Amino acid sequence: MKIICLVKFIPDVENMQFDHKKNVLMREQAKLTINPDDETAIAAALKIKERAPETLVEIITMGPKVVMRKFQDLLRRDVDKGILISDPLYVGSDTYATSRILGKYLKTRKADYIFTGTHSLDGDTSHVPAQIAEILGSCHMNNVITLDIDQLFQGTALLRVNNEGNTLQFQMNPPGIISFEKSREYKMPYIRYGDFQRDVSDKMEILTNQDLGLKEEEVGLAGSLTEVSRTFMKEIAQKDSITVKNDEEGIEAVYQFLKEKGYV
Amino acid sequence: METKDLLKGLEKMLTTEQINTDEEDLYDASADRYKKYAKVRRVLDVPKPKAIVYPNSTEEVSKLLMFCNDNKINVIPRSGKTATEGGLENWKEDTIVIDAKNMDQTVKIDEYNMQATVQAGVVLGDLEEELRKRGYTTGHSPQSKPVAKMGGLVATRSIGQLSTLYGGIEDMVVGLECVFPDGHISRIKNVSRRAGGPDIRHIVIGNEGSLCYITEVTVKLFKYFPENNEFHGFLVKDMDTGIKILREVMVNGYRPSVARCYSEEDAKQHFYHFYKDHSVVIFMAEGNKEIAEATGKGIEMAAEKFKEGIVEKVDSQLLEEWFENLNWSQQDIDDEYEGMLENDSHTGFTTEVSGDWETIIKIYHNVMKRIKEEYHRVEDLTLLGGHSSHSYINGTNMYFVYNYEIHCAPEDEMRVYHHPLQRIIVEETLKLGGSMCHHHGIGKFRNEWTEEEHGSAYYMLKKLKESFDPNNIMNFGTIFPQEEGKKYQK
Repeated sequence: MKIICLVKFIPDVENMQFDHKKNVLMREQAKLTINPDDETAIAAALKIKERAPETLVEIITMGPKVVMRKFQDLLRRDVDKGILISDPLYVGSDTYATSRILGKYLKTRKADYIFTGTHSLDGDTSHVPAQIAEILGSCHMNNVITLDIDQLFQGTALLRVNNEGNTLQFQMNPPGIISFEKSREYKMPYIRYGDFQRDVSDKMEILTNQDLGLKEEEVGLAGSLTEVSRTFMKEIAQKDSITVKNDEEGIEAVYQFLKEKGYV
Repeated sequence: METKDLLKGLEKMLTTEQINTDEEDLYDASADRYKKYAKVRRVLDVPKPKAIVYPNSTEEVSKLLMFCNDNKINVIPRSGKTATEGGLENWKEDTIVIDAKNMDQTVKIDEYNMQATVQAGVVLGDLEEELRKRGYTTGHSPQSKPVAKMGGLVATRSIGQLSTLYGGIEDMVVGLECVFPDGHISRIKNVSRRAGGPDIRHIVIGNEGSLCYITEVTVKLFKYFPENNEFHGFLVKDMDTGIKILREVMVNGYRPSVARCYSEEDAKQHFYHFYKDHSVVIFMAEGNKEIAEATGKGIEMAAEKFKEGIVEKVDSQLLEEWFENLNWSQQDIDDEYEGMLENDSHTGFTTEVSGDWETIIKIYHNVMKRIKEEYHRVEDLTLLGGHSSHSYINGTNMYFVYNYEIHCAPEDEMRVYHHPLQRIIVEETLKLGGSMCHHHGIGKFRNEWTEEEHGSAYYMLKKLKESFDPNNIMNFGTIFPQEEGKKYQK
């Protein structure tokens, strides 16, 4: 079986600052982190590989070369191959241009399934997987919570899907695109101590527009029909707070609160 | 030796009830609290012992040791299982654990002569409870008191929370009985003092099971006056001020049972409800009424001398409440294990060192600086601090505490986190002439520095080992570094 995972590296938005005057995220200060939904996708692929070591797992990312270190860390985790698509021409690509670029490459690759995340924390449009599916003529399912690995080995993907709070079950035959939600079911394995500095350059390939052959007007800002008119921080409602003392009454109050919320 | 032959050999000496080959118990016995996370996650990299045995008497211990000595079987002496430095970890395929569980009798409580004699398997907490009913105490109060046993407490040269008044275990032990690998039983009699050559109690106290097996201990008793306890506490500007206050109390001859100074970071985890982002100094004065009151006055005078560095006094009621809940229980240990199963975290690690007054604060600052500047996973740290908790006229200890989010495989946790941090602490301590190990024992994971710790005196330690344990069967790898064991350390 071959699984291709699409992964996006995003600014660590939980620790990033927002410039309210310019209406932009101050990305320069932020560290990069792997998009949580994409991390779940890769973790799911590696879990399948753990069960069936002959499974090939390839990861693809599009972005500047500054993502290299994090990307290589993924390759140190039993991923077989990594493709970094990077070209200055691609800067400013909207979701459709991005999908076009990724789709161009994916058309040249055969895979049983393409795993992606459903949302990205920094964009949250959820466009790319669906657009790629359209470009590839592939079926696609979003908001996947889990897939049945045993069924996968029987030749079909049995998917549990979050549908606005309800859980539905779908079946998908390969090839197809499966977009995961962040889930505790699939945990990214850690890099082993002996592999922290392992040279994974033999597993990596960097592709530029010269390799993909897209026209300039199809990519980057030139190829992006959408533009962001306004961004804003979600307003966080001020919640009530209760102060208790460190005495019997206070402890009882905390205990009852936790019990009410289902933590005890 | 083939396992079946080993077990046959044991069966000739013990009953079947005294021999445990349960796989889960053997897995549990292969490592102690040092590798707690790997143990819970079932990824221990060390061999299991072949059996755990429970001798009923000193004579049975003697037979067991002779058998192991003749057959080159590694022996891990064990009692309370509260070891924290790998002292109970197994590094050899052919190993048995000799557990003192069945040697749990209180032999004699001698109130007139102020001594109590107990077998190695007696729980300190149980002894203490019995003594307190009679108005006495051992004065020994490590955090593990509710579960730790006397044999292990003596073997590790342990110390308790009240040591500044009562001393460490080495000050409390009057006499003892132990068994050497050749089967010889030695009994050191109970006298108040002797000058009959070197004090041979100290060959046994702190040997960590690397020389002999302790079977019985006699400790001093003290009268117990809990009604006179006085708590004194202060928020201070920094650790330097706190250490100076501790020193002032000690050099003027006062002996509070508790004398502690916590850094802000460490204070946060213990005293979150009153520390106000400051270091915290705590004392408890204990003893008969006149002594406790005089000690309390001495503490106040010391604080007055350094009042520029004092932010405010702490309500003594808060300190008393904290102190009442300081000790572990078996439930706490079990809860930590459950927590480690569910989360990528645990309750942290410590490295405890000692030094003189001048040196200890330098060690503290050097370590803090080096870790923050050098440690490659500093962003994973959730706690880095320290406290002084055992003071003497000529110095004190520093108990470095650290915790972290574990972002690595459980098998790698020690290499990624604890070992590099411990290395910095040990290096800085030895560089400044301190001791790398105040009271937990060297175990197996500081043994690479044992020779540096002792310098030219290492000769004496080595000769003891060669003399008493020429076949190297006693707790292989503890205290003395072993090439064969390096693979479990790195």
